[in-house]
Amino acid sequence: MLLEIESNKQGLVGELHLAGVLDISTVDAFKNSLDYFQDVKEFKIDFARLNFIDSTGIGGILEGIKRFQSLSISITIINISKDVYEIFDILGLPEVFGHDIFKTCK
Amino acid sequence: MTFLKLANSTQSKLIGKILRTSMLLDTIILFSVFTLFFSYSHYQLKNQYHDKLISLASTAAQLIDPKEHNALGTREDEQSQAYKEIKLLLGEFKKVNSDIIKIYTIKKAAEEIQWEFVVDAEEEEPSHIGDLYDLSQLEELKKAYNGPIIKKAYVQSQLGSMLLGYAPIRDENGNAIALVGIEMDLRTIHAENVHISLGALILFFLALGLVLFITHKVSNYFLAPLQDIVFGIQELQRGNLSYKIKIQTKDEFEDLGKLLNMTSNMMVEHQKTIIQNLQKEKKQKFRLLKVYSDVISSVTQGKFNLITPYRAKIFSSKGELLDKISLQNPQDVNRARELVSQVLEDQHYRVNNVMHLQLCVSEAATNVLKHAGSGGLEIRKMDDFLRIVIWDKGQGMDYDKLPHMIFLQGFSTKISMGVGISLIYKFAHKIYLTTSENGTSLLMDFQLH
Repeated sequence: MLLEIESNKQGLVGELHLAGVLDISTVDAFKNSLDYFQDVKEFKIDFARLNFIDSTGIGGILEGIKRFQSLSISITIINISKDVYEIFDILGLPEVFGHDIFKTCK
Repeated sequence: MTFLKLANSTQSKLIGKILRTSMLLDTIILFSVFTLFFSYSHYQLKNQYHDKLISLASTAAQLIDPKEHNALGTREDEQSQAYKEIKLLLGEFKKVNSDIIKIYTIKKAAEEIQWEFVVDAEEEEPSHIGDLYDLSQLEELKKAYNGPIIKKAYVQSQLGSMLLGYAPIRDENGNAIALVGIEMDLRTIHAENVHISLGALILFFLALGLVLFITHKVSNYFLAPLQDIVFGIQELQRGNLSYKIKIQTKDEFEDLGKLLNMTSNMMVEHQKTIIQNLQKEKKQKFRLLKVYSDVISSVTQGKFNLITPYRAKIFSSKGELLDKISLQNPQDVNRARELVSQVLEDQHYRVNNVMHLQLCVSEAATNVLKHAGSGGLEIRKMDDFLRIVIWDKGQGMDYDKLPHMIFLQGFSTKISMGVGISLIYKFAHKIYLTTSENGTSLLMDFQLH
């Protein structure tokens, strides 16, 4: 499977762990997995085991960010690798959506 | 249905309509004519027989001696010479005229309303003097005293249909004293009526056939120009716009021919205009492509190059083909990335950043699927470059939007205009792009170490 998705919800906090690739072949599955977290107050997407993302995958992430922000749900993307963050940076995402949302690996 | 088949079908239908209409009218007219002919012939025949009957009855009445006839009163008088003479006379009339069934003389009986036979020419079972005569003919008998008369309606009897006629036998004072009665067989009239009918019927069908034949010939003659028109339309359909219809019948067909010729002339003019416009458009497009190519190449300092399909074909075949993959569905994007990584590993090639290379491959392959549906990818080894060739047979991209795609800063704009090209421009060493209505080819060169 190109993308494995693990969903966790504890109270009003939700976590989504992605492993694999996020591209044209897997982005729809990712978007569908967000439906589970409509009722949380805080939401995290963990990129620790995400090996690859392209602009189609990033488009899916941005859709999620806009959706959760419109529901007043706090969203962050954590454990972003250096290579992936570089792409976000080239595309100007931190400037547009806020640096707080994008957390790199320590 | 093609235009030609429609035209041919129209011609056949026209001739069919003309023939059917002609047949209907001709049948009505001919039927009326021959009915009149038959009626007139029958009337003449009937009058002929009426005249004959009256003539026979009158002649017989004049030849009979009234005194001798008057003297016959009882049955015993049947043995008299006078009776026999009169019977013989009547018999001669019957012998000479085969149509006569019966001939006799009758007179009023003692009672005014009764009539009785006097002399009957019949040899077998004749009516005798004093036998009562048929009273159903009473009106005719009364009138016959004034002059010869024919019963107007035909009488039906055991012997068949017959005509009755009476003529008075007059004394020296001119008074009618008795009547000669003749019953004439109508079988001959009927037989002649049948002959007339058959003759009329045969003539009717012959005339109808002749009229239809003439109508068909005349229709074909007048509709012949339609063949020329059909042929002309056929030539137009084949694309022979220079063909001209030549009809000089000085009627509506000639007008139609001229109209079609005018139409084909107009089509020729329009065709010329369209061709000229297309050539102009092509030249303009080529000039525009040249301008874009020069500007983009200049601004990117030769990194991004718009090239012609011809040059793209040459560039795509340079170097050594290492591997290739077709792009048909979303899963092929990942396969393409893995293929590139595998080639690098197998060939022991090193690039600046494998992730960047994979990203460019992913962006280009995704664009193929999104905009063209399917395409292909080739990995080629140049001298010290790895060349990735990605192609499709889609409808092409708007290269006038390329500057925005490559240069415009700001993510929201990039997302709407196409992020892929921007990222490829960022990470590839050199890019060649050709795009047209026949498809798009993108060549990305990556420096090898």
